[in-house]
Amino acid sequence: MPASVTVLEAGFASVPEAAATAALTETQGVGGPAVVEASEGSGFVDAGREGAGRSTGYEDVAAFTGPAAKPRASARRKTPADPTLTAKVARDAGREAALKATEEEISALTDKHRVLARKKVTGTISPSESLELQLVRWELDRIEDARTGPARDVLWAALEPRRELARDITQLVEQLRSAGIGRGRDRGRRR
Amino acid sequence: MNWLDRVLAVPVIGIRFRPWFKTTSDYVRALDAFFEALDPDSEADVRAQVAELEFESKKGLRGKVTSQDLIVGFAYKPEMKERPGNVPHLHYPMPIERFSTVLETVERSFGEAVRALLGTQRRPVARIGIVAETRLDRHALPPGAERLLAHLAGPWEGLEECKAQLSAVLQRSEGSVQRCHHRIDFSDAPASGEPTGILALALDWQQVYQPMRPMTAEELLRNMAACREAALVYFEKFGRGELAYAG
Repeated sequence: MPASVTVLEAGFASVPEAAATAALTETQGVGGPAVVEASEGSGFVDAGREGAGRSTGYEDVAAFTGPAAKPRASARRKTPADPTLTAKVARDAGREAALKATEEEISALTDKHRVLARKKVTGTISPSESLELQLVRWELDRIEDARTGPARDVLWAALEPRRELARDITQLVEQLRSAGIGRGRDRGRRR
Repeated sequence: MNWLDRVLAVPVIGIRFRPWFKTTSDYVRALDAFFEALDPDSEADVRAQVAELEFESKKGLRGKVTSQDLIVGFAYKPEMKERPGNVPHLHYPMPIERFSTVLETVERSFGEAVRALLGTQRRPVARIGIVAETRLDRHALPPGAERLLAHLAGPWEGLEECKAQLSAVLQRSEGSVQRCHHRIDFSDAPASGEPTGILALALDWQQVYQPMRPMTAEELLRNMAACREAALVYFEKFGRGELAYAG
């Protein structure tokens, strides 16, 4: 028996469904440390006869959230929902997953891409193969992004001040134009 | 090989039984060896409440047992790492694995839990579910997700935000129904509608038995393996966008 087993309140499992649902609902929203925008209703949702979209209570075991129903004070701290931050964390983790592709898989994807692309060029590709070609391209792009993406991000970050300067100059030129400064007729009048 | 292997994605497997009369201590006793094996080097965290019991291992396995459900899934828990003199850094401390690898781990653990819980009994099973949850970069969606969004945005100029669950019947046959809940959650830049951030997508594939089908642990695991295969085929079909979308 693990030492950390905690029995809060032992009881018969045959509680009425309404009571059981209420008990489950109480556990919702209690995320673990640094919950990143908990995806509510994740997993094994009820529907059909029992009502569309009705959860069976798995949302507190959501895949990307913290531990389920932990009543620690620190567990209630939520990460500010900064979409940029969470997107970066998700993208970095996704790249790590994509890096797990083996050479055999990449070779198989490349071969499939070659066959399907040739069919597309020769006009013999079926609608189903056309969709498959798009997915194969997307998979190869993800693997490529996982390999070169971090370096590209550094490059983009280094270029950002220059891009910002370019945006500022463009904005200044627009403002000067809208104020009528720098047009040909203005220069003519001054002369 | 599945498109879910190229992104951050995790699986969940669940069963719904006919509700049964057990006390929480019965569950704990039945699953004793299972909890021991979850974290051989440390202690799994196990919590019991009225009519339900939750568990979580340090390696990411987690789940729940109630009077009618057994659910085993996996989670990457992000952590906020404090950095002196700098803003805190959010990251996943656990190594990220591909979806198919995590699915094998979850399936193995699920099998052990089913055997421990059912023993030699035969229980009526209401449904078996296989879930894939993922977070996708809005700038690099798989073609299937792009097609679904284009389909949903059809009547308008575009969608800025979407929090939806589409519960679809995939196939009806004698004594069972296959269905899939598609949960989509994203929010793009207001007004411009420029894709920003992430899109949370969950594909919750289910085999529903009508009426319930009595199964032993081994029969259930055989059915679960068949459900896993059918679910993966559907997930792949969804990823390709090979559904009869309008346009």
